[in-house]
Amino acid sequence: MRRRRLLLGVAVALAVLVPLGWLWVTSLVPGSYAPMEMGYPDYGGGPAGSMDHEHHHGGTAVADLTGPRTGTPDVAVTLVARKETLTLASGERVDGYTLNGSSPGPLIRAREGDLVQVTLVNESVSGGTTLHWHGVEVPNAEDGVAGVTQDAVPVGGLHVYRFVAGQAGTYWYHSHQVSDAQVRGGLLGPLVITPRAAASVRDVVAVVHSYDRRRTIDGRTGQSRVDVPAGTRVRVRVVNTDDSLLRTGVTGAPYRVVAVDGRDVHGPAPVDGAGYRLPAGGRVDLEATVPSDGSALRLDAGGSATSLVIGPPGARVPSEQLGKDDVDLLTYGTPAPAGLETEHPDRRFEYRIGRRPGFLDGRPGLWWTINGHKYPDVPMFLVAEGDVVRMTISNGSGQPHPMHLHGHHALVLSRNGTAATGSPWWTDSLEVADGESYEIAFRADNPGVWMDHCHNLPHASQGLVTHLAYVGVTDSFRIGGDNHNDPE
Amino acid sequence: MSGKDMRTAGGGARAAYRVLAIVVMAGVALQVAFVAFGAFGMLSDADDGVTVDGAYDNLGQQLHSFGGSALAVVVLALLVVSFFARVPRGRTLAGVLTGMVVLQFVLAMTAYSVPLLGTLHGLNGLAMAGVAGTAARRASRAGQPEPARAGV
Repeated sequence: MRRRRLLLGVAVALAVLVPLGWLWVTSLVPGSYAPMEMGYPDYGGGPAGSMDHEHHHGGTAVADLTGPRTGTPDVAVTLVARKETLTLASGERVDGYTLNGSSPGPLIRAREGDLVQVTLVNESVSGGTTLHWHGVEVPNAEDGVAGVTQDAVPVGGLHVYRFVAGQAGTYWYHSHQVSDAQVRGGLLGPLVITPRAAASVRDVVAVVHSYDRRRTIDGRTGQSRVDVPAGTRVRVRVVNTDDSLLRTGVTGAPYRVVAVDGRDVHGPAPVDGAGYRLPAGGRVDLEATVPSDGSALRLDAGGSATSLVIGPPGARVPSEQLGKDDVDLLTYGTPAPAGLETEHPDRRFEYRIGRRPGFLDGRPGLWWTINGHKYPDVPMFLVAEGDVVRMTISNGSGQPHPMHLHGHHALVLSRNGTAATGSPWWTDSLEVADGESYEIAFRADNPGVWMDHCHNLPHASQGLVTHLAYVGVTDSFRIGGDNHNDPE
Repeated sequence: MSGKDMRTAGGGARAAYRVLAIVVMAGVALQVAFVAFGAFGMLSDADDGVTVDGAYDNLGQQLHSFGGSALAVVVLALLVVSFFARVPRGRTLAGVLTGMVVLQFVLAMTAYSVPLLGTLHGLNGLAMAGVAGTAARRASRAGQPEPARAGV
């Protein structure tokens, strides 16, 4: 009787410990691995083509998918990255990262079609750094993702990025090496591409970033001012560089949402008092006219405590708060041809986000899953150049996720089964709330290996990352290894 | 193994069972304390101008999150020990606690989007302390001589 009880006890102990041990061991991530070896291929119902997942011979190498190697750049910038204690524009001192001595880094301004050349010099960012051009459809080798499109630039090293400025719009750049810590520490800056014809609108760039957990606009805490004469039409380019959704909007006059993620909105109607929910990594251009009655405009960044007052010196600051309503891009604006035939896609993918307890690289916790799989055993979405791709992103993980696909813009087709009826809604940073499901479509027109991840960067470092890869493209870069590449 | 060894091993396991059950009770008390620490920490941070958004967390919340995983490990250990310890209904109680831990994690995950479920998370946590208390008491009584047990 006792012996049977003991045997039962041992059996139960083994029944608990053996699966736990097995789960622990199989969760371990190798010290060095290629992104292409990660997980399992998902062809989305399309042909596997010449590529097979374990086979890396032939085809185009990521390292060869560069921008123009010759030609005199129209915009040439050198950015020196440092890890240091920095003084915010509003005076506070925080430990972080700077580019050319400041954070946010300098505004890079280019015109459509300009050849842009940025030389990144790493002076003192231990562990290495890179620059990723968030939202810009650069050639793959210029994408700046350590371990996927380049090696992290070590201290004393430099890397030259060259690309032709594409569609006019608001973008930003940031490190994609240990990006959770480096972006939080301020290794980032704005990038604006303007049409070749001069615009009749006054541009105001508002980079929203939290330093040491204090939210700033262009590095200033609290309320700051921009002097603009009364009657001026202003285009405020709001960039959310933080990890979670930012509620923004203009008070003091009606505003229009004229562009989202660097793509113009068709037929934007005036918005009076409603807010705009800007996903992490996303950008929105809000246009309004400074009133002529001696008052100013106020742009809020998550409440009026952090705001930008835009108007003549001494102008009265509007006291009203943003209302409860929010602009919904599913219905905002007027329809127009999107230039993408989405009825008969070449591939259909599912990107289903969940969460479950388990181990990630040996650490116990609650971890994100993609289509039921934990990092690094996640699907690798494979496409061929020219494919029209439909993807359903659904979220049942309990928390919202701002999803960012590198190198492409996607058209939002529907949310929770309700078709989009407003302006064509192109995005590169899409907020998918818990319980929501979005159907998006894009043309696979930029060969390479592209990250497709959550831009709540701690979530990405917890494994909410996968890749979109083109058949026939090979990638020799490795995560980990001698270069200590660690993109998240 | 002789009968005497078995008895000694059973007594050791019973003591371990009792200690683990008490640790679960104490752990639940600490978890409650961490929640209050986290909530007041968040209010204090908000007063100091700290951005309280989706990315926010503080020491109290981190301790609560870590404490949850640690308690799950303790309950699993209790479940394993329950098969060696001679505690009346000891296995049932440990099994119930294991189920409550699973429920606790599920409630924690869903409460992010349905905050009202957080109330059930709190009540289930307190109920866990109650079950662990019963388990600890049973283990103490089982260790006492027969007459004392008969007198209960």
